[in-house]
Amino acid sequence: MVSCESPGILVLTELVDNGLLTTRTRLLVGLAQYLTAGLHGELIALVTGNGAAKAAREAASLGVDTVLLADSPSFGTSGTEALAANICEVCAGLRPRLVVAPHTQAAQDFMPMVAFRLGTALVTDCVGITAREDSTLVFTKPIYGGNALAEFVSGSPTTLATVRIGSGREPTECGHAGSIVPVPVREGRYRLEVLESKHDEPSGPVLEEAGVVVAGGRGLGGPEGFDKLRGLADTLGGAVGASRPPCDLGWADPDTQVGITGKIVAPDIYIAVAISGSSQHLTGMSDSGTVVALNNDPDACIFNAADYGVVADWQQVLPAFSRKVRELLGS
Amino acid sequence: MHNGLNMIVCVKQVPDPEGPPTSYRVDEEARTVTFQGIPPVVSPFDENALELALGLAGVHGGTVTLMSLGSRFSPAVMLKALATGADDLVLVEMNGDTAPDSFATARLLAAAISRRGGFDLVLAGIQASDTNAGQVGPGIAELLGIPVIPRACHADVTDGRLVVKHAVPGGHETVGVPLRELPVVLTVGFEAGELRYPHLAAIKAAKEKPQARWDASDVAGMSPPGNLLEIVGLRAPKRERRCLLIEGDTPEEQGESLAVRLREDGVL
Ligand SMILES: Cc1cc2nc3c(=O)[nH]c(=O)nc-3n(C[C@H](O)[C@H](O)[C@H](O)COP(=O)(O)OP(=O)(O)OC[C@H]3O[C@@H](n4cnc5c(N)ncnc54)[C@H](O)[C@@H]3O)c2cc1C
Repeated sequence: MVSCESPGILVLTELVDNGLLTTRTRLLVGLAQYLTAGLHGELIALVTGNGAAKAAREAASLGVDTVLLADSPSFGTSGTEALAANICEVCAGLRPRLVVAPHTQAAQDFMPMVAFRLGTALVTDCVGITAREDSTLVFTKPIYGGNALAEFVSGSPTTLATVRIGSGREPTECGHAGSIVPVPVREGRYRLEVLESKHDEPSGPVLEEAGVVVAGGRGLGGPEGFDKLRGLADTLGGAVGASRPPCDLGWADPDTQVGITGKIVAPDIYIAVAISGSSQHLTGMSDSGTVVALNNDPDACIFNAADYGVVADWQQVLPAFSRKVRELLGS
Repeated sequence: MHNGLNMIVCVKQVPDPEGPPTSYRVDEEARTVTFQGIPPVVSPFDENALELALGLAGVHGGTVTLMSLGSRFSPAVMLKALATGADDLVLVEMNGDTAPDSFATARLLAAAISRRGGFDLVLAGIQASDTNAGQVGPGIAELLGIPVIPRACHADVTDGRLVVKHAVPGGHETVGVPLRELPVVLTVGFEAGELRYPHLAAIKAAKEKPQARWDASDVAGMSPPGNLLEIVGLRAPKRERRCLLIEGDTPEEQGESLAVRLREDGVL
């Protein structure tokens, strides 16, 4: 068991396929670094994965005091159980004040397991964590599908949180590299027999990391509309997203859903095509840089949350818009 | 051969989440959200969970028990859920005004589920549409010491196994659990399909189905769980932006002007 003199914050990291940390993990390290300053504790990162040494070195270079490295093939794509078991083990030894993970689908699966195994509080989908002067942590999260933002304080010695990308910050240079400590890897508590595993071929950039997202809603009327969005997304080097109905209806891959029960995105440009702007959708993209909306209903809520809008039939607007964009970008 | 699965579906009563944002009023002082003109409903993902259970029972037999923790239950909402084909209903009633957090909710439900006993599957929505927390399903599993299969889309029984297809990051996975190793918890999202609609006759008949009311404080026994989280502030989100509407004589012209404007403003 690893222990620590002055427990502070434990950051759980997420890796990309190339073995480096995801952008949202880096930004979460930055947030944790900022909070640690007020909590007078160590900043620790747990890097888990199969061949994760490179990511551990990256974490160490970001100003983390200690990087715990759990390198094992058991953290495959279905390694939720193994992850939960290992995080519990590390937490039991360190007793950190705060444990944070990027708000991903995986984290939504393993964080509740960890919280209930340890008997500690968990705040999911935080849009902000701040420290009061007396060092009490305040966690802000959307409730009622994003119709309200609630602030919570926790009564347990360790508190867990999953955090949205938009509330992270760039880590500051600290000039020294943290130490990397390998930790023993534990097996998960339960083992379910996997009969079949199907992973989608990623096409284009990862939705949550894309600089541009072109998203379509129910008003697209069918899967063909998404081919047109794909064309524009390719021109802009962006990813295609969707509101929930197209995912329900099988027009779009459920993995592309943006919103409170889908992906949380904060690209530089978000283009919403035939999306009405429900709060469940808006809460998943309202941190975007510039929001552009195409909708034929002038009263659609999306226009209140957009910087640029066109009130017209998307079928007529989009081809002309895409053509002009290609011309202007010279592609 | 087995005689079908005994399933408990956790259902929460919530204000209709599809109501327009204007129907939600945030009272910052009282730290509460009040609703105008929107009816209570069963939280949508719990409906998906119920549909998955009814589908299993339809093919393989078994029983479906609805269990709901809360206060001020709407008889209409609960009857409608019963009428879709569930066998009975257990209401676990809370007194007092403080809503239980995820931790307390999972502990009370786990206690109520244990008291009920004799179950093979517990199903719950991936998250409730009011708290958006997503902890109760996996929480119940941990407290009962059984595995959870998150985001189930489809379930079947073949060759003495419960076979569940569920969403994992970046794809889907199918897992098998020998029936003798049950119970397990399934959390369910919209991929399991919309809840069937009850016939009018079924709604009338549902009144005759067994309904139990348990007091949450009885269920909790000696140690009623307190909340771990305290709400200290509440506010409405600010996401208003000033929208520049792009005009033009034709939609094509509007499309082109939009591109030009975005370029001029340095967005593209
Ligand atoms: C618990 C819960 C969780 C949810 N989670 C999510 C989530 O994560 N993400 C999400 O997106 N939703 C979510 N929802 C659903 C959400 O409440 C809305 O139902 C959904 O976002 C609406 O999607 P939409 O805007 O595509 O469809 P609609 O509201 O039907 O809007 C379609 C829009 O298209 C426009 N339109 C139609 N035809 C044209 C045309 N020819 N040209 C231009 N415009 C056109 C219409 O004017 C309309 O504004 C959730 C709901 C619940 C209850």
